[in-house]
Amino acid sequence: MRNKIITIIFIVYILIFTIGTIVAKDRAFSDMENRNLAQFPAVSVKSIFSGDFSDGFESYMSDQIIFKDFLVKLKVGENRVLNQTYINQTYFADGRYIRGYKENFIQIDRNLGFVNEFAENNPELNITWLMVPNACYVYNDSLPPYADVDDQAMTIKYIEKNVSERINFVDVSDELVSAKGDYIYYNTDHHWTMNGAYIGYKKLCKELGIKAMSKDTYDIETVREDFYGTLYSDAPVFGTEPDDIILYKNDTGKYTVNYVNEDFTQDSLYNYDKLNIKDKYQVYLDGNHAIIRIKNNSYYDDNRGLDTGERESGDADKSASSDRVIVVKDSYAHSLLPLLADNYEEIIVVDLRYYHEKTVSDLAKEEGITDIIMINNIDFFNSDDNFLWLM
Amino acid sequence: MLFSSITFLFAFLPAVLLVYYISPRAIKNFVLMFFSLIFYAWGEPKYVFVMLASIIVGYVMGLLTDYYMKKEKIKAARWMVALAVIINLGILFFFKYMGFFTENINKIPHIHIKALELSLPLGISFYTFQILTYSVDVYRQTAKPQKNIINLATYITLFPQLIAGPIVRYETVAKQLEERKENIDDFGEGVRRFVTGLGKKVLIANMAGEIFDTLSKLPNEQNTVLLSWICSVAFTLQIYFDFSGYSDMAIGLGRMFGFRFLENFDYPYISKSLTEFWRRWHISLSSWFKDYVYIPLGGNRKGKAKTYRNLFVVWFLTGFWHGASWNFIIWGLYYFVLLMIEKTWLLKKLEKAPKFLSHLYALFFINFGWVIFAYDKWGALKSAVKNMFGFGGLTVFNRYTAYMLLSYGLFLIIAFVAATPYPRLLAGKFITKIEDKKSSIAGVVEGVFIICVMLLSTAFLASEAFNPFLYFRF
Repeated sequence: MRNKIITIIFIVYILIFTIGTIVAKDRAFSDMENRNLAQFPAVSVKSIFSGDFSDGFESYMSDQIIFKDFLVKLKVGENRVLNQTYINQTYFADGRYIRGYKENFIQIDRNLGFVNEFAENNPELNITWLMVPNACYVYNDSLPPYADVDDQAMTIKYIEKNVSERINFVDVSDELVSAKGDYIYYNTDHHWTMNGAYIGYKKLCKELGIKAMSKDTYDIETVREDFYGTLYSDAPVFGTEPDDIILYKNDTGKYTVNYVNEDFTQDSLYNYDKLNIKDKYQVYLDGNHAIIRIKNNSYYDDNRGLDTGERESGDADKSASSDRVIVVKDSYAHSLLPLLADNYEEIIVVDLRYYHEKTVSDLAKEEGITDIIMINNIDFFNSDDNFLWLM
Repeated sequence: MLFSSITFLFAFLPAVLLVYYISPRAIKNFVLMFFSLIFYAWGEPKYVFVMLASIIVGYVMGLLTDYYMKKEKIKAARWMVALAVIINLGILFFFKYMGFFTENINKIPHIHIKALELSLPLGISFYTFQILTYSVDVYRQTAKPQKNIINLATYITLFPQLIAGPIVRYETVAKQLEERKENIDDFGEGVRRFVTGLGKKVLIANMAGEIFDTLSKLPNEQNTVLLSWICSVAFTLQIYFDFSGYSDMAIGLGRMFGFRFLENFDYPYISKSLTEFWRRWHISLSSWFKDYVYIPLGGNRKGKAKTYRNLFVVWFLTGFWHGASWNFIIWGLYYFVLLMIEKTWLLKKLEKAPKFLSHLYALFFINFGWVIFAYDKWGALKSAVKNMFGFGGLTVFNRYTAYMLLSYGLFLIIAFVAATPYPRLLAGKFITKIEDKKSSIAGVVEGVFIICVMLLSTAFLASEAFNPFLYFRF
């Protein structure tokens, strides 16, 4: 009797997965894992004998297996039950995900070398550099006990000490830490929220000597409450609360956002279509692009709501260059730039990971721009390998 | 193909079970052979032909051996069996040991032989040893020659035991190849064993392997004495749960098709001496060496000196069988020395010693043996040993050690307990208690357990978590 029952259970279990996987339609993309899924491999004599077919088939089976999303969550669930708090470079920290930070001195020195050389070789440029810490620093006390992460304050100190005097280095970590009770970083994504970006914006404006827009200028709206970010994708687990997407909208502003290489233009700083895809952070300036030109059409309007004091509309004394700026950035800037857009007539946004047509110094010369703002998060500066494209 | 893969569980296994059970008796062996060849060819198709060549050699030589034996031409029969052994060991040597020998000969000054870059045919050490048992068993007349080549090929290629053992002797399954009866009780028992093995491999061995993988690559700035011990223990757990898990799955799958293989592992880590350990570890291999090498060499019947020589040969070969690398040879000879010491005086002392002491002694040397086994690079082995015994200049404990203990402590405790017979004993008692009242409830309880293990294993496999194959060097 016992043997009969477990035989039936075993066979039924196998058949549910076998038949289910055959019947279920193949998916092209997993929203939960944020990646493309393997498709059925090409069948040919060659692919079979080279072993490519069997490799492809194995990937296909494990990607297209029925209940895949449930199974992945179950696996992470077991890790959690065993008190394992570090999965795929991500920590489970008190109800939030935090990407671990390990200092990479070689990369930091390399990148710092490029930044300094850029500043010193281009004495005509005014460079302001905003460095944003990650949740790993700001929410350090939420990390699991004894978590093996490095202190970003040390990295900032190191950069501060070694950065060229030509650069106005701006560290916003204290402001962010004192606002840690607010919703300034996503729980499931590695970015900061627009609330966090506003803190960065205010600090940046202060250092630039320009006036930041006050919070009441904006209509602050939560547009989605179902955002599962990239960290969730790395280690999805049952019962995770999704994040909110918050937009700061200046209803009086009129903008033209030109995505140069993609050759399309929008009249909004937000691409609302991206609220319907998995990575909703792309709502800010449509995600990653090599080069974007943001024009503020209301810059000279009398009623544009900008409380400028020193920079009155149509102020002819101001040199044209300070109305225009180049921002060299990573994706942390995406949620800050919609705020900064009100302070400049034009912002040329460059992402060194993708913009390799010319160097930033050439671009600045060509555009006749002398003000450069760099916006980076520490994790990015610690790992990215494209800073040589500055020079 | 691996048992622990989504492809095996939900494509290969249902296909072979379906076709096998709807096929008429006459072609059942052919069906098994056919699917076994697909199983083997999966991923590395060309080596199927190497295996088929071995089978044909074994088949022809077996018939010839028998022919001469019947005619009482013992000498000719002996030549036939010798030829079969030489050819099959030659193939094994060529693919497995050629690179090792050329590499070492090239270390002699002025000699430079071009090394062949051959990948090792999967499971070649297992199936070669199986063919050898056939050749020898026919010669010894403990088994009749197999007239039907399909039956012989089915025996050699049988996918449950093909790539990671156990080494099934021909005499064990000779009868089953021709007359076996599948039934629901065997199938149920097969399910039980298979699922147990799957859980051991996927849920325990792979996680232990992940710990070993992380810690063995740890830079010295982060490493501590305690972590290097945890690292070695993780490997000790990994290799047991991986290997015995594979054997459980093999035995279980065999049962589903009506075969009964012999047990291969018997809770080796509860041993109180290394002699006992080798009675409980990879039984099919140690008994193979005993019956096909040690005893033919004269065993212990020809005086002390010859006994030691024979044991030396056996342990040298046992080590070398595990891979063409010096560390495996050293590992084998390490056991030769330790077992000699036990044989001459230590064993008697151990029997009188408190249980926990002899147990601790055995575990210490087993664990140390696995350290030798785990590192095939001299430098890595040296630094692992140094770190464990405090000569690596490491601190005993640090933050990271605390973090690893919090993350893996619970898992390690579970794994320790799972390596003892107690969970099985308790579960068995519990189930029979229920069964006495109502046997269907016992079935359901067991079924729930089976679903849980299957589901968790499926989850790990579908997530493409760490899932290594340890026997590619065997």
